[in-house]
Amino acid sequence: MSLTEKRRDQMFQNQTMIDKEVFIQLIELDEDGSTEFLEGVAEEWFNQAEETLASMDDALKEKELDKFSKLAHFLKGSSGQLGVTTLQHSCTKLQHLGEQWDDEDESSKKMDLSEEEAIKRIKPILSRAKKEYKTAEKWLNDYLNANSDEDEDAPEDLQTPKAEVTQKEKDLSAKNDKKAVETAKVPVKVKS
Amino acid sequence: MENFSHPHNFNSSQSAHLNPHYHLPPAQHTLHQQPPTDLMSRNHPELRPRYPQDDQSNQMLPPDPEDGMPGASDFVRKLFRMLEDPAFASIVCWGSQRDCFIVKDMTEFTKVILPRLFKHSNFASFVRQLNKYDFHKVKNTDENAYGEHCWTFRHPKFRADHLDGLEDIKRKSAPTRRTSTRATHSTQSKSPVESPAHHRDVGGVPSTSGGPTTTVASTSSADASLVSVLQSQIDQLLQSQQDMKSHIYTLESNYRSVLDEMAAFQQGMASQDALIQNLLQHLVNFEQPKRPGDPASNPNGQPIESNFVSEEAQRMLSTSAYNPQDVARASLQQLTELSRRANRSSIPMGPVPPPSLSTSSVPPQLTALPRLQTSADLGGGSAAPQNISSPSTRGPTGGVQSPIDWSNHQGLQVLTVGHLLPRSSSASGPTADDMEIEEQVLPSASYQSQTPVSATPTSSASPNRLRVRRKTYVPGWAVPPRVLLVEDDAVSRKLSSKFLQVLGVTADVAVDGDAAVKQMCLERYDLVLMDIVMPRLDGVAATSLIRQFDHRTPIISMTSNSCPQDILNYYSHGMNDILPKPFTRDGLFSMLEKHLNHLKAMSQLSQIPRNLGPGDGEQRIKEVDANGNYKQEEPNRSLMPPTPSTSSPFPPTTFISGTPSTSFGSVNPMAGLGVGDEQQYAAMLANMTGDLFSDRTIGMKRPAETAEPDSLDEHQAKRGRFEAVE
Repeated sequence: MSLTEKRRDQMFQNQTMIDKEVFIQLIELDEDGSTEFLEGVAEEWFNQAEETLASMDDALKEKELDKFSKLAHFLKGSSGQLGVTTLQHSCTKLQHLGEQWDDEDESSKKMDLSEEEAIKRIKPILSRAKKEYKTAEKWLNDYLNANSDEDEDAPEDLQTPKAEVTQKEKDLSAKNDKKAVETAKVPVKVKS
Repeated sequence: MENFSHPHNFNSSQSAHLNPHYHLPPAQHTLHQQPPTDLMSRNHPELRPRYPQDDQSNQMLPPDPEDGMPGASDFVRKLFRMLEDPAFASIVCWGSQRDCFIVKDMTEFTKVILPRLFKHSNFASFVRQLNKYDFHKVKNTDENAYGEHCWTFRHPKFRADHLDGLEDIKRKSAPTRRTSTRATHSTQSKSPVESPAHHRDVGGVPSTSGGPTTTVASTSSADASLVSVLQSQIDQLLQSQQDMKSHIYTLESNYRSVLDEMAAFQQGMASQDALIQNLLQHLVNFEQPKRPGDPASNPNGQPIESNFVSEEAQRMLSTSAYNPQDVARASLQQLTELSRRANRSSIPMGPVPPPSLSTSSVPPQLTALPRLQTSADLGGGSAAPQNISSPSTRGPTGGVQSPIDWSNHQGLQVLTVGHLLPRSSSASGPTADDMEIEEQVLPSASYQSQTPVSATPTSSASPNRLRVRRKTYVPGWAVPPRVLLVEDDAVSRKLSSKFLQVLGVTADVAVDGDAAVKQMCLERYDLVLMDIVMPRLDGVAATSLIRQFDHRTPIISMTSNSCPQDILNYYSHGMNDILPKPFTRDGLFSMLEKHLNHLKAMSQLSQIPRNLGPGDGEQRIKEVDANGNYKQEEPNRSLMPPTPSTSSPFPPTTFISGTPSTSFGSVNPMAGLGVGDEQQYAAMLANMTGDLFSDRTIGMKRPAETAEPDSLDEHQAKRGRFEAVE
């Protein structure tokens, strides 16, 4: 088993966030060990997810549940395609709540939730979804970094020096902040 | 119509010129004083009042017997008079020899003389008329005195001093034809009563000295001819009416047959609809008790379909003109033969490559690996070059890999995505093996995880296994399918188009329903993958729109909405299938395979009859040469991909020297076909017929299939042009 694979396996261990099967298929889309394609997709997804989550916040403030539901549906699609199962499930639930019913609440299937009730139920799940997104983002970045580490200095120990990781994280978060600023500047394009 | 209009023209437009002629003969004998025809007399009064200054000459000339031109035609008279008229001398005059005349100033002539004498102002038509009377334009020789723009005309008999000659100046051809037709008319259609009357009239002319009689005679003969002309016209009309009637009758019968066909077609459509509805109902019923809310997933759907398929297929096959059963039977024989040999050759064969794969055997794989590597390098992440070269590369590699795997895993699935091979390889030899095994395991694992074990394991297994077998002998698309991917989500779009690329599909992308409809107007696709929730125009609406002009391109909805109502709604709007989101590569591939089977099956079918015949001896000889020690015929080769493998780019030496005995200790030739024992033949055949059926019905491909060779060509032509758009 190659170094990459060991590291990869380590990353898949003890996590339920990413659907390993789906994700491996994504990995396999890249040519021979490169992560170029995956990086591109991940980058795109980061932008999209942040944008969408922000729009969802707005929609919730405006009490536009219909729009909110569509945004959730949208994020659900890309999350699922990337194998980010946790976020996918949260988005499904948010989508349903936006349609004013709760998939865990049998009574709501017969009668719509009130708007207030729906919003009340949405809030915790939305913040959970945001956390899930952050975790997924970090995981993806870690994965990509781990792979590029291997490209640069293959014979290195499996244990990535902690300092380096934190440094990388800082870099990344700085990058993300910058990105967030950029997205804020650009008028948010709402996809429904 | 032509027949009809011609005599009409003849009568009306030409009578002005013709009348004088055919009236002249009787008139000639009777009188010289009177203008011979009524036409003549009609002409002159018109001339006179307009040009009083010409009065004298005009009045003097025409009725004048002394003008010396008794038999000359009207036109010639006018011409002569014009030349004699001193008023026109500055414009037109006799030539110096007085045997020709010269139009000195064409413009003046056209402006002044033509309107006065000839009642038009077109010099060209004047010249034409001259030519009709056999006047000819003469090159100015010694007449340069009148300048360069003068026109000289000459007629051998038209001389200033030779009036008698004028009589002989006649219109060319036309008058003679006219008289002859007139003669036939009169003989044909004149009643016996009329005829003597006519003769009497003519005969009576000399005795009577008055003009009126002559006029009567000529008018009566004119009447007679008119009657005959009218008669013939009526005949023609009757004839054309008859034609019309029969034509209309033909049209009516055509129309009726078209109606019949349409009715039959509608019935066919209705029954097809009913079938699909039935299937759907089954599907939903099947699905609901088990997992409400889960999308109708393929693995569950397939068993029902395939059961249904087999009886339907039987019926369709029996009616098919092509009669694939013969083919099936022939291939069954081949396979039996093969398995017999396979049993024999289960003794380790050493370096002898499996017969079916002889040409594209081991070396291609070895050489293919570096080649694929380079293409990957060139691609730099995008697999576009692979896509383009896929028909050639995939052929050999796919063919090669199968024996390796099948020797170890008979009855398992091999995905023949050749260019995936080199990645993440550490060891050199078993690379392909590793990858292949993984690929085999994945789909079956995913099917098991998706399908509850209770869901009729045997029947769900059989399509799976059968599908596998098809892949083994059809390693790739005959042509890369063209797919339109409609997806608004950039991430999904990127992933899906990459998946498609990897699966050897040429994909175009539309970002919403609106763009999809437009794109469908512009191009033809083999399949559409349609997202449902999209801005501007959603997938369902877009599908309805597309269905208004395109009834057969399969449209697959990619959706994460999973309730049966939604799915029924999609179907009712013209979608052909559902690909639940998020989908895996294998899910996508089986969907493509299901609907684009014709792109593979056709090559397969077209191969079989050809290779069954004795016609490809050359290829076999080549193969034997290439493999040295292999002497047997290989009937099963007909099931292998066509030419790319046989005309492989690797020289024969490579085949011999490069055949490693290491990793292929004993190779079961049957493994290449995925055929382990005879029981499987039946299943395989059933699958083949099933394939035929699914070609015809799923995706409503019936019209497409008849036009298949064309569309294949089309694809071949297009292949280079389109690449994945991202």
